[in-house]
Amino acid sequence: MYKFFTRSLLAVFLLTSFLFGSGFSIYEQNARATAMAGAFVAQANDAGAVFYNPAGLSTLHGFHLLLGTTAIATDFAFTGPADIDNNLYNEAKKGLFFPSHFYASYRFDRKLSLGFGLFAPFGLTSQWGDDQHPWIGRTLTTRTSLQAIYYNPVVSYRLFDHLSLAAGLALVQSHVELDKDLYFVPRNLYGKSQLKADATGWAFNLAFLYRPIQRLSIGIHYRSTVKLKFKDGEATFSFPVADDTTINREVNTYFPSKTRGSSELTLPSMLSLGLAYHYSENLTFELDYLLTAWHVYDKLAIHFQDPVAGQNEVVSLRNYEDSYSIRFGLEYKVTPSFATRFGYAWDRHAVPNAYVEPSLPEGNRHNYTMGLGYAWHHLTVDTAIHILLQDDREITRSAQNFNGKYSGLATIYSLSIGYSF
Amino acid sequence: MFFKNILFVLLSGALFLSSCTLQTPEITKSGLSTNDKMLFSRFMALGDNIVAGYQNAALTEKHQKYSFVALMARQGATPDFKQPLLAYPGLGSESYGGYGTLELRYLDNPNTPHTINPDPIVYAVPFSDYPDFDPENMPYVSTDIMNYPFPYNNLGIPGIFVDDVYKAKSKLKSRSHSGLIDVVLRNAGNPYGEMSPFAQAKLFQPSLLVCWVGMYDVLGYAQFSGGGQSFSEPTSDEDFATYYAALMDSLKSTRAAVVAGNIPDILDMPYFNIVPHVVIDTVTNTPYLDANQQPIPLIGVHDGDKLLMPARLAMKRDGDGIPAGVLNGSGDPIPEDMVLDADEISMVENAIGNYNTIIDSVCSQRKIPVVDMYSFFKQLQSGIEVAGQTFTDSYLSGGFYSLDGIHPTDLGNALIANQWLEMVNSKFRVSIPGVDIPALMSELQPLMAGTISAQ
Repeated sequence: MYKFFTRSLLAVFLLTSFLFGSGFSIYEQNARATAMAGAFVAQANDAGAVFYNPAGLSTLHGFHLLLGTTAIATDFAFTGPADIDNNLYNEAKKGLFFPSHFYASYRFDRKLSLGFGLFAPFGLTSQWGDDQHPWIGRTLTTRTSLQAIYYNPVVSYRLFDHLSLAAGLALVQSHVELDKDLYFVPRNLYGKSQLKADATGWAFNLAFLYRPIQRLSIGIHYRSTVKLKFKDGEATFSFPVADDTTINREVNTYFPSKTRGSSELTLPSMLSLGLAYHYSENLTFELDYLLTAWHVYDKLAIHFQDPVAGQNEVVSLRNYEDSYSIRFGLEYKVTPSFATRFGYAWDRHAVPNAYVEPSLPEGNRHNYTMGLGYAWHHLTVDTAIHILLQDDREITRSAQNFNGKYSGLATIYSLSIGYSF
Repeated sequence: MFFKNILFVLLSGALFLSSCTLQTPEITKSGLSTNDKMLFSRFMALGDNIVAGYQNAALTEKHQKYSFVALMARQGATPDFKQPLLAYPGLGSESYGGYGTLELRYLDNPNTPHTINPDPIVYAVPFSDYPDFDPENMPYVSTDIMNYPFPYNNLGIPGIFVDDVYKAKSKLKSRSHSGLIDVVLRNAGNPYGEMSPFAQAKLFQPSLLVCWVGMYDVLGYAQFSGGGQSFSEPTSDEDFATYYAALMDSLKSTRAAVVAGNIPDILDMPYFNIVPHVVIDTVTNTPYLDANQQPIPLIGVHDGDKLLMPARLAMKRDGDGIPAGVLNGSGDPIPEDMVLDADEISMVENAIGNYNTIIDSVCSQRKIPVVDMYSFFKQLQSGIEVAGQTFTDSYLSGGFYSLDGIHPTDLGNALIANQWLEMVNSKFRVSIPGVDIPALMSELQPLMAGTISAQ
């Protein structure tokens, strides 16, 4: 019964991914927090605290369960490349994904609370063109899919009435798929390269929630980096069969149809700081600062067991930079059981101009959110809508000579249902 | 209570119904304005080898249709850009021996399975394989092309010198005596009389003139000096200056928009760089080692020399350059015309440098833009990346140089076309979109059956 439950949850998570926050981080892990643009580290007063600030679990009583999902519709485009046609408009396939989250918490006594969370704070999917209509950047990327799922048990300890500390460990499971087209130059032949790999890593998190006075709360939450070693990935190279057997033989010599690949990826650490102000019984504001240390992602190096076109290693520079976001949210309780929420967040890009490439068309983002929440007996239902508008990003110094303009937006709907007893 | 439930449901519903999508812009692809089309309406090209679409040591339709000027005409929508298309296997440097274009048979000869380094087989297509091809009387693809009543739009001729562009009337009445002059000019029996390439272009009243010439003035010397041919040295700098100025003055007199190009460094090309200077063991395709485990330098080749591609055949067929007693060695040195010694190399380098200085000054005085092909070809050493595909100067795998090791491939011509289009766009206030390189890569694919991949 439990096995089936977790497996079906996993299936829901592994339904590919999505991209927001900066770089490929996803901060939308609870409909209530999402409705407030993620400004939740200093409030953290529902089971979603497992993700946003586990020290907040100390404020909850009894058992809490929270299950939710987020529907994300993405729409991205690239105009260029400049050295061929400045006006060529390329639209990526519109994405639709359903990342989900599950949290549980239990308060043992006045001091100790335990929690568990299953969520995916990193993810990315992009698809440009397809077999019938390949796009102009086909040898850069066609399809990319990446996600990291966290299994995060946490412990929260109420040191004093107004101060809680928390710590957690997370098992991180990651799955990556990278597809692009290849061109066999001597024989003028297009083929496909498909890489698939899985890795498991560990992370820890530390949190802190402090209430200096009744109306004010301060939250700090740190999640560590995660080293992911993709050891036994699968690399597949497929080419169409030519009428000439010599060409087919040459293709098979230069491109093993299947080989092993390995790589390493480090997910960045995240630090969030927030300040919440309870203006009245009904109205709370919060302002958060979230720093994601993307500088750890400097390159992507893939090593092949058998040589591919004479090479055993392919290195792509990434050179990501640290990025931050400023989040502001508010919650207004129309009645004690009916809340409305609004928020705005601004995300600074992580990828410098020279390294933006189509598999992650990133830029500065404006996030406008609003949502509703309804509480009835033991049940809570929260909904949110989040409009993500990315600033047009003009790339002029592309290290791969793929200059042009990236534009994009996403519409996100979230629903979380909580049950407490 | 009931009211609040309904309100909640309604508001949630409203939220979920709203959605955003990107607004598709009005223009999703560059088109051509009237101005753009007018500029390219009467587009003519003059020059030597690369302009003509010479590739794989021959001129033939298979590659002529991808000459960079034909690709430029495609982008500028020139109505009917006519070229002297020749049937397969075409005419070129191997024609005197009865061969046409080069083809790649194997990237790695399967008959020598013990080679450590791949040994490719490139062969020249014999005329005898194509008995319908008449190289002497009717080398064209059709009588329509042969009898086209106007001058060809592409008047580029492989193997001519700078002054031939405005002086040559036939193979005999030229300085270069290139065998392909008559094929392109068709002056014999011409009712208009005998006209040089320039005169033919002027007759057509061009709107745009591309002229890229001068490479053969130094390439002919580099390839054939020391042999029985007439290239004892490159065109002298003084002569080049006189000829080039006269040529540019003539082009200016047509009132067309004129674009010129400078000369690339031919010594960087694979033709001069891929033959190793040591004896090679043909079984393993690695250097042959003597009793002391040392490689054996070829006879007649010194440090700093350059070996030309034909030397490979001389070694294989006659044992030239290889000491007697080693493999098939004859003990004779590599023939002089297949080696460029230090003096010859500096003559070539000086010629290129001086020609380019002359081109720059002659053109800037006449306000003719010059496409910097010298720098562009140099970029190949570090790789030129276009839409995710990198082109380098490597023979066979680089994608830029064709099988003859000198002239660019179809894709190489496309890269060149985009450089010239960039110049045309910036100097003549038009905006012609560049050649879609990935689409051309797709167009060049051979016939296919299914897909091979691991199951």
